[in-house]
Amino acid sequence: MIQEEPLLPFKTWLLEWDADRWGAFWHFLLVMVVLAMLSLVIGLIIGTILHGPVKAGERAYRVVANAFRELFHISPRRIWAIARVAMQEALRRRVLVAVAVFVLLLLFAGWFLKTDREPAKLYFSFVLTATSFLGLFIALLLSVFSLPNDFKTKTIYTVVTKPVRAGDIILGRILGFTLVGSLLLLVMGGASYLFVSRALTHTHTVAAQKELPERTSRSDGHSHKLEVRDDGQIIAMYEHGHEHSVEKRGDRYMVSPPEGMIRARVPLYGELKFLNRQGVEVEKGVSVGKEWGYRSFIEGGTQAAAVWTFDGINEDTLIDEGEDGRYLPIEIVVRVFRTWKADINTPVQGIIQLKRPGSDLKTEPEFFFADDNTIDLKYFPESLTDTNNQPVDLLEDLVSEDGQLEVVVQCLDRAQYFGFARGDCYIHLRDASPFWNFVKAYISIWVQMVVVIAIAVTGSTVLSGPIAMLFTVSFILLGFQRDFLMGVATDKVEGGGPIEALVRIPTHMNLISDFKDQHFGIKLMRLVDDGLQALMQVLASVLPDFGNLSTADYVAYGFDIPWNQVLQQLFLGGAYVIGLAIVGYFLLRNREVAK
Amino acid sequence: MADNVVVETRALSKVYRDFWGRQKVRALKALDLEIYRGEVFGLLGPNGSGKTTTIKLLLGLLFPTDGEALVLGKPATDVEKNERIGYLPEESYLYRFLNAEETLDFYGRLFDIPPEVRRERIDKLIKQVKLDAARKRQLREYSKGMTRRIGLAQALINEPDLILLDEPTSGLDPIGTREMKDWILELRDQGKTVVMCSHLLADVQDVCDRIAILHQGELKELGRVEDLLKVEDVTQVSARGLSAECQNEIRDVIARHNGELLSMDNPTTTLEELFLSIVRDSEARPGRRVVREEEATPPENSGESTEPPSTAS
Amino acid sequence: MNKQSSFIRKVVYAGILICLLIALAVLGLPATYSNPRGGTYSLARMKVDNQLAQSNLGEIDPASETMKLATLGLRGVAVNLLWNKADEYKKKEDWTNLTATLEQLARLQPNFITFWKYQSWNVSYNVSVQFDDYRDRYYYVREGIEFLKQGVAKNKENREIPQLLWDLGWFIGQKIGRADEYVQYRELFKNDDEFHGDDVPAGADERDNWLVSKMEYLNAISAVRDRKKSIGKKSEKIFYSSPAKSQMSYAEAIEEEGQFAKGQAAWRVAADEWSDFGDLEIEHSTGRMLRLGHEEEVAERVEQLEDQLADLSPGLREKLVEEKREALPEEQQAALAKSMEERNAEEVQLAYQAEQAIEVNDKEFVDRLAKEKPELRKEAGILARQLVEERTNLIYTRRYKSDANYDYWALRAEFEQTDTAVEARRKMFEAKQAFADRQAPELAKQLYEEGFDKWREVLETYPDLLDPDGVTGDDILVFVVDYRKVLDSLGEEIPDDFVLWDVIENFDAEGEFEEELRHRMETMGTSTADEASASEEAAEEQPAEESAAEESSDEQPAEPEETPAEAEEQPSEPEQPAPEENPKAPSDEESADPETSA
Repeated sequence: MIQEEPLLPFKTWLLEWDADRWGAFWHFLLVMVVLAMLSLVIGLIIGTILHGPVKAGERAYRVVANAFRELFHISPRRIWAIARVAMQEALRRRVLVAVAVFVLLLLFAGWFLKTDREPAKLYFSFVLTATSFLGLFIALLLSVFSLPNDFKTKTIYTVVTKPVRAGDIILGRILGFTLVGSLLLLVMGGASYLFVSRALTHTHTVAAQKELPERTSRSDGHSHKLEVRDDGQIIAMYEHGHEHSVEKRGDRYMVSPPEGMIRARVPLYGELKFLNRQGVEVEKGVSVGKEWGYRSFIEGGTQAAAVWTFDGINEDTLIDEGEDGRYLPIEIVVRVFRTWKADINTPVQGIIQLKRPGSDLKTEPEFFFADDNTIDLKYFPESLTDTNNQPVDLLEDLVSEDGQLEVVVQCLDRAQYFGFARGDCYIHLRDASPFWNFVKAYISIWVQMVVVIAIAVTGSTVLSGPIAMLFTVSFILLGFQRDFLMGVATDKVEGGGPIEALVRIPTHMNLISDFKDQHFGIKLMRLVDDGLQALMQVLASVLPDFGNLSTADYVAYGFDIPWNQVLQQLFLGGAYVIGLAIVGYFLLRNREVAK
Repeated sequence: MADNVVVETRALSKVYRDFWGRQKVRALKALDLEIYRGEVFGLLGPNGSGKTTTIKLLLGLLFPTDGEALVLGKPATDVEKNERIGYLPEESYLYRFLNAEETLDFYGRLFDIPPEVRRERIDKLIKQVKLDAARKRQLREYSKGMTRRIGLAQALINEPDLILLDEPTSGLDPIGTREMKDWILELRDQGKTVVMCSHLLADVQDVCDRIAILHQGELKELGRVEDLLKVEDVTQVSARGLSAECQNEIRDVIARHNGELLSMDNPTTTLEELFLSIVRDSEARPGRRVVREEEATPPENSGESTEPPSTAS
Repeated sequence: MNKQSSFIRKVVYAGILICLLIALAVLGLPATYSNPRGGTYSLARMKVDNQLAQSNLGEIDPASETMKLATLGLRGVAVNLLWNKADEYKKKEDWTNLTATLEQLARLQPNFITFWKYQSWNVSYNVSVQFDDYRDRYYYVREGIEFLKQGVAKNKENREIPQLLWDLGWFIGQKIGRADEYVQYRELFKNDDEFHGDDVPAGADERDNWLVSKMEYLNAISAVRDRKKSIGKKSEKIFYSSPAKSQMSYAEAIEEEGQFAKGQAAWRVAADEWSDFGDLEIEHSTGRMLRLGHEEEVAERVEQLEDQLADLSPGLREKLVEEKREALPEEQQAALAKSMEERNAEEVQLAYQAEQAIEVNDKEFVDRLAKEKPELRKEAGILARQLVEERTNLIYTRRYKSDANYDYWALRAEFEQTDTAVEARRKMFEAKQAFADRQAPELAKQLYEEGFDKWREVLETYPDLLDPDGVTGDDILVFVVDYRKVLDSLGEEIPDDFVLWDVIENFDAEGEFEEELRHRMETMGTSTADEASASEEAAEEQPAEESAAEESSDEQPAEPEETPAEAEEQPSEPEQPAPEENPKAPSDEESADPETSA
């Protein structure tokens, strides 16, 4: 499973900070404080221009004092009343259309989706993406027109002339739309799960003959090789992400529905370090020239190795295989890079060993043929032999006192490379329920939706409907491109700042070449860009990272979404709602309701 | 501020600016006004004189450009004052997809009124404004009169001390107008203060105690209706059962005292009275009326008390 | 009066309206069943003629139309985003999502030819190599091909369809047939039921990837010739020679697999097709029409014209040459006077300059002729112009021929048909089998030697086969390498009387035989020195002779004496003996043609 950024433990994510990142809580605080200061300063300046300094100061004081006072008068009953009306309004409008569209989409999805070698991945990807798009879109439409509509039809007059606080209005609306959106997501989620289960179900036939045929029939674009296990069980081999079991009933063979297609593995990840060719510890391996630096490589036929350190190994991490005893279920993904083709019929060989941290005690190397880019199961039994052929016990000898264990992988073939990233080796603790995993993915979508609603409601307090919609859509799109925005703002991306890019495009300059003569105009442009980039950085730090808020990958790849992640996302969503509600409150409170 | 001053404005001004900050319209120019508890106050003026602006400023829907407005002792922009006030807007600014009950329930919740009290009041109010038959119908199906009535109901849901009415009788038929005027007087009798703005002079004259006349954003006249409208040097006498000789005698008395007899004849009742009585009878006895003379009942003339007869204009 | 003017106005407006309506009706005449191209002036006709209508271009796909509509006018933006996403997925090695995104893109821009070219290439060439298992690689090569087929289906009437068809031929031919793992790929392709469908039954010859490739090339040519589609920027000589080349590759491939009878027949077909290609009129980049197979005729015509021109005034040319010679400075004359061997380095240089100076070109000739015999001026002028024309044709033809390596392939097709060649190859095949499969090195050695004798025969008959631009030399060297392996296993070395030493010397690009050659030089000692001098003289002959290739002499015999002096450049590299001994890499059929790279 691709994990570009490791998932931090919750407390670290929330509270701790170091050179690279701030704890989320401090970040939030900082943003709020900076925003408050900024708006205060800007408000004072504008007020001074319009009414003179004294009045401006008075007004500013009044606004702030009011805000504090009204904070204590927020009433749940009022919020609920407004939420109810918002829900009723929404339900009478476009919500049902969304469901209809979604169902249509699902029905005709077959036109768009091809059968693939990894159908589960494709279907889940599709379904979760479609849901999130549609869900976000509908939430946006509902929430962005509501307040402006009230202003237009002046129904806001009768509301605002009651002792309703602006905060009530904002929170009430957010709550109401969230509830409607949640209902929508529920329906879409149910439909999606049914759709995927149905789409993935298929079966094959096996020709009824005396001897077991070689392959099953072709169905859904693939067929399976048939094999008989030692215990007499017939298996349709792993292909396209799943396998079947086959039962012989009299003369005929009954093929079961697909197994293992939808799963939710619970992994235990470790820390990765590399040894270079001389066996010296380094942080990253070799680069083989790939643009994507997620993985780094070790050279075969040398002392180069990839070493994972796992924490918390004890009795519980072992799994029971019945009479075979207990195993440590290590799973590993190897990415193979050949510098010469060698014998293309033979995969590249590697070895894997267990090692006690801090000592030289290693198990005897186990040879394996690398299956490129697929999950390989390397289950280690409890009793092993070490490099001197002495018997060792996994839990007693190899695992250190504080529960740590190292896994060492090396490549054997000279001039071939193995590529690894931190997430490529893990201990498969157990399988969680794929259904609940799916639900967790939906929680992530729910969080995204709530953020969108909050943005929409806040925007619609001062902007008209269509403008508020543009505002929210821009927010979202920029949120999806947040990394890119940050990259441009911090000069990590080639091509300079906004103005420079604007110059490069019509003059057909490529991103990397520099301007020929550095005259004054270029310097001025760069200066302006610096300012703009600072602004972009500020903006980017406020934008929600929608990419991060999506956990569709977990479900598609078949991994369990850790509750830690869900919690982080919920907090993130909550932070946005609070922040935006505060902003919205100030905006709404201080605007003139009548025209 | 004195205890019985419910609304006070000091040099209240409102200038509408366009987007660039330039002045567009001076809606209100330095208005000084005081409204006392328990009276019915009328804001008069032609269209565009600033009366609606004043109401909106008092409600906090607009922010004053200059000066200040105090309602129930608090600044107009303070949301807390809204607990004790009620507002009947000119058009129906209510959610059209709710029905009468739901509407009142919604606004009741906004006042934080507990459920039982709420239910009670809703029932009472619906009966009071005579919308019982239509309580489950959505507001989009209401006629103008019904909308006005439900509007009044929501204005009264919190039993306010101060009620602001924006053109309460405009667009209503005579029955509706009569009802509205009755309600306003009833409210006054309950000790509430009513502020209304209107350009329908007759209606204002009927209910208001004090009026202010605005023109182009400036206060042109302020005072009690009676005082303003009293024609100082004319005496009006209404008497019943005067024979012709008596009338002649009176004529002589006036001449003797060097007075000028302006008119002595049978006063007319108001058209409103006639209309209402006809409607009332029609409802009691449906069917075509035959001849008017027999059934014409002279209106109740009870001397100088309640309904001042209209002076022909 | 007002009423009248108002009425007139109304009449005028009505008139304008009617005119406009008529115009609209004419323009808007739709294509009907009986009149499929619409009216004479209608937009429908213009649509058809310029191939702007979607339905004209190929299949219409309702899903595609739906998706295009669903973008609500933002199709360009959506397409942009999707391309970006596709690049992202490729970068992050997320193949599932990449193919899914490409499918979506295919729906949104089905008629954009570059999209199909680019992405099918992307999948077949860039994505496929990311996999370790060759079966996975084949899967993605085939995905790219299927993708391209989809593109072809959607753009059948598109003006640029020949490009896609040619690419299809290229992928199926080159990518499958010339990859490092071509043996496995060809096998997989033959057994690929899904790809061939029911039309081509299993085991049929038509399943061979080269033959399928040839078929696609023929489709491409038919699209250009019969349906008047555009060949785009493709080089005509490559475009039209592709089917024949595929046929040759086919013949080569099946002979490698041991099917010699079929192979021989296939070579016959190839020879015919190649000469058909030679007869085709091919447009040169300057617009001239050339026929690659007719160089001799052109050369003959040139000679004819030259003779005719010279006949107009016999001896005039020699006179002119003499005049020029006398006009030379002293030293050059002197240097010229000496014979080649007697000149020292400086004199060689002078002699060269002298020879350049005394060249008489046609223009000078004609001018002089006109001066001396003015009545022949017109005729001479005509002849001179024709001569220039034909000479240019000759040069271009020669150039194109060398680009397409026409002579070599013609020769190749010819010699491969002969029984000797087939025998030679069969021996090689059996020898390899004997050694690899049956572990019988003695037998292998014997077979190899028999085979090499046959090869020697072939080379004697067709000496031009050892042209460094051709591949035969390299092919033979591969056999020699295998032979050496056999000898190694027997503990022997290549014998001194090995019949193909010259091949080793000239085609050992990788220096695998350095040791042997050095050893041989020593043992041969003086005899090589003799041979060297003998070869020097021979070098003054046609340098295309095989013997010139033998000893890489540093001295370049001066060429200009061969061909009549021309102001244009000399016919280029291929005529020089190869001091640069690097024959082109065997995987390029078309040597050094930049237009074939995608």
